[in-house]
Amino acid sequence: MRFNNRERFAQYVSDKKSPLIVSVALIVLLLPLALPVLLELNSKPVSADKPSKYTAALALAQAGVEKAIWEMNNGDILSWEGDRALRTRTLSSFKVPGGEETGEVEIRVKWPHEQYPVVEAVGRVAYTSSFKKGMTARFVVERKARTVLQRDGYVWVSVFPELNTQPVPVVQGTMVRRGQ
Amino acid sequence: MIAHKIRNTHKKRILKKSPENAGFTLVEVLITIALFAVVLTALLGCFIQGFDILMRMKQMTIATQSIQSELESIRNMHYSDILALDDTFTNDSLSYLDNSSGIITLDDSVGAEIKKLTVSVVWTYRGRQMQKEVVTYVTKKGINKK
Repeated sequence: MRFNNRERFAQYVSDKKSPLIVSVALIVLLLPLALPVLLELNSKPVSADKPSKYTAALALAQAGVEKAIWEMNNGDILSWEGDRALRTRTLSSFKVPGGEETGEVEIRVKWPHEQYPVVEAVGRVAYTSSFKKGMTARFVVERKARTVLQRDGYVWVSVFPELNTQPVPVVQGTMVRRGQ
Repeated sequence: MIAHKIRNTHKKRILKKSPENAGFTLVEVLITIALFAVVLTALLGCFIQGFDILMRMKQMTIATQSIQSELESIRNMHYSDILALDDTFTNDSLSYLDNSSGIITLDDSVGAEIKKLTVSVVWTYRGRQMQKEVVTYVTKKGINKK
């Protein structure tokens, strides 16, 4: 059925009170009202998933800091990329023992051979297909040896139970949160 | 008699044409109901699916909080205590999940005095097995300074 003008259409609706037209009009009016609810429901999983990803990313960032400290104490940080001012390393495809990939860690160590190296690690996990969530853990590490006071006769002397060759890092820094 | 019939027919025509007396036919009502039913069914499906996702995400959040709590606890432990940890853990959050269990895995393939620590929570939701796990490193002289 075709209508040449608005008056005839209005007349048709008025005369016939066509439920088809009325119901379609109602749906068209109601759908925009229901749409925000549906969109909210659709966005909930994403918003609920975000803290979970942050936790995983922070754990990876902390793993990066641990790895850097371990390399400075026991490993060979000289083999990392960079120079004496900045050493970097990326642990890509960080996997759980089962083999599933969780993300990657980017580690930066400023002044690794100085008294106060700064370790910064960013853990990234897959968030959506095209976007990754990241958390940064940043620590200032101080090189110093743990000393223990012991009594030797009448005097107190400091001894180095772990020898003095292994510096013990002390965490001084804060964690910096980046991203949304 | 004929005059009566003519009057009745004329009355019916008048009633049929009058806009005040125009009603819905059965077909129109059925079509309308069918149309509403289709739209409402689609909307209801969306809502049911949405609430299902919400419930799953709620459980995922509980599992994440449980893992985070356990990780923080482990971070404050002495390294020797970490090595002596049980393979399983439990806390209050896990009681909100069906058939839940917390699992701790220490992988020492990375090197001496550094372990890859995986904290996992496994539970079931409507017959499906769900799992959330977080992985990190712990070292003897690392973040926890012990």
